[in-house]
Amino acid sequence: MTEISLHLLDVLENSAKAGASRVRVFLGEDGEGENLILEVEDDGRGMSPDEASRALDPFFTTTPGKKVGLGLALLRSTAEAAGGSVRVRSVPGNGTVVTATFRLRSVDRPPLGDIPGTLQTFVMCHPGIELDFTWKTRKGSFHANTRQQIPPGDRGSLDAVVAFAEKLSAGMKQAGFEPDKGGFDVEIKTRS
Amino acid sequence: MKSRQDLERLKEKTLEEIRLRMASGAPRVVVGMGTCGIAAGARETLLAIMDELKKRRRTDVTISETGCVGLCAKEPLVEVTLPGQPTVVYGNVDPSKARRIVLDHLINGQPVTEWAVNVIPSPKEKEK
Repeated sequence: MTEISLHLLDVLENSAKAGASRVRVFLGEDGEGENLILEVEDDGRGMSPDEASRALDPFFTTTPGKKVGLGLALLRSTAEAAGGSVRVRSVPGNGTVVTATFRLRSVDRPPLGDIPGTLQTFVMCHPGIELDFTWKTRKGSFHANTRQQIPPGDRGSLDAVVAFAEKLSAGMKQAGFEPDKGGFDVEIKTRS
Repeated sequence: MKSRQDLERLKEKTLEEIRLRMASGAPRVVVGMGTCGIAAGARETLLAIMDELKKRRRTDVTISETGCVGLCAKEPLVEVTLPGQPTVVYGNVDPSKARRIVLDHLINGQPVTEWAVNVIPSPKEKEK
């Protein structure tokens, strides 16, 4: 996966498969501005302690008939290459929290990519799931919520979802979102 | 499930799903969004489909996604179903192919046979 936004989409799809009705996404920097944090919390069916402990194993999946589950394993690989890690916390019946950290200036940290497009596809395909998104860096912050911003009758409507994504894109841009800059670009910019 | 709010959310989600099922008489497009599909570019494909449908004011089409169907080498996969017609599964659908599939198949009703990897008969055809 070439962008962090693709990992985000993959984790969001896991939440949808887990039967979530609400998903909270946090994307931003930690207090010191050293790390990029991606956190996805859902209220889906959750996992047993055994399943949660094996969730990052590429040869473990809960999908019947399949032998591999690569999504979280790929996320771990990207995070660890960028000096970070992935943590999975889950309570059966209550939901799951996936937290990935990446060193912001690691040259192996991929760019964020098309976050608004990622959320647009998720909202379009899962109109029944409430998405709560927060973007927070030292340059600015932005918050969006599908339940608050898309009227119930318009959820799943193409026009409403595109309008939501356009607001999201504009709001994030205003709050300092730079989709194409990976750790390498940040490092070079800091040095020069 | 812990509170009244959780119940409300579950109710709302179920109502949305029922509404979508009621709309199943509408044309339907399904994009493979498993890990393999995402890595192969399914997001860009889906965004191109949404953009093309919006440009052509075809907001009656149901847009949906599915997980890995085991044909990872052909991702991104796109299924198109018109009411009463067989479902056509297209393989290796990049954004430019997606735009042509929207125009030829979804809007003009002519499947793009050279990109089809499978054709699934409609329920009525299966009964025959």
